[in-house]
Amino acid sequence: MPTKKKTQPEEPSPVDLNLRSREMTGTLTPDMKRFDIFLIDTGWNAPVSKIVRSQLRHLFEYQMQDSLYELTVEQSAAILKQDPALIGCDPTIIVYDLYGCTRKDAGNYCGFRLNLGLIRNAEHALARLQEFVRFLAIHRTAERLDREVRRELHREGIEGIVKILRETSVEMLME
Amino acid sequence: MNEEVPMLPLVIGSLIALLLGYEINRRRNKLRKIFNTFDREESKIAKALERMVESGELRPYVPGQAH
Repeated sequence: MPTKKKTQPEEPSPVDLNLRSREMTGTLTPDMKRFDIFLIDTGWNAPVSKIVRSQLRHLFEYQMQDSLYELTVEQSAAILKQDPALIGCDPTIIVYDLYGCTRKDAGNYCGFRLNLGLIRNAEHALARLQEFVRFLAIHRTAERLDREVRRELHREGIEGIVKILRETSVEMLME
Repeated sequence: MNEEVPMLPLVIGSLIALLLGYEINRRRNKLRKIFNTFDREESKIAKALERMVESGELRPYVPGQAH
C-alpha cells in the first residue's frame, strides 16, 4: 500500500516590511498601495470583536491595493504589552500611512487608529467601521490625510457641527 | 420707551447654547479618541509589528486563502 507523503508546509518567505512614511515624489493615484492595516483584538469586548472579525474582510474588498494583517488574540496581547495605553481600546485597527507625512516628517510612523473597543454597542461599532472604510476609499489620494481626519471624522469646523447636530437629532428620534 | 429685555427667554436660550456647546465638545472628544491620529519618530508597536511580519509570524490576508 503506497504511503502518502506528507507535504511539508512551505516556509514563509521573509518579508521586509517598513511602516515608516516616505516622501511622495509623484502624484498619489487610487490604484497604488498606501496603507498597511493591522487588526489588534484581544477579544475582551466580545460583541464588537465578533462583528469586526466577521465584517472586516468583506470591507477590505474595497482596499485591495493595501495590506491587511489580522493578529490573533495572543499576538494582539503581545503587541499591547508594548503600549499599555491601548489596553481596553481594542478591537483597534491601526492604519500606517506610507505617504501621510509632510516632507519634514518623512521617516516617521504616521497614521491613525480606529479604537472600536471604546464603543459598547456592536451596531454603532459597525457603523464607525463602515464610516472608516468609506473614508479611506474616498480620501486615499489626499496629500494630508490627517487634515481630512480632523475635518470629517473628528467633525471639526462648522460643517462638523451641523453633522453632529443632525446625528444627535436622529438618535433622539430613534430612542 | 423703556423696553424691558425679556430675561427668561435670554437665560433659557443661553442655557440651551451652553448645553449644545458642551454636547458638541463631548462628541468631538469621543470621536478623537475613537479615530486617533499619530505621528511619531519611534514606535514600539510599529517595530514589533514589523518584526512579526518579517519573521513570518504574521502574514497579510489574501482573499480566498484560509488563515
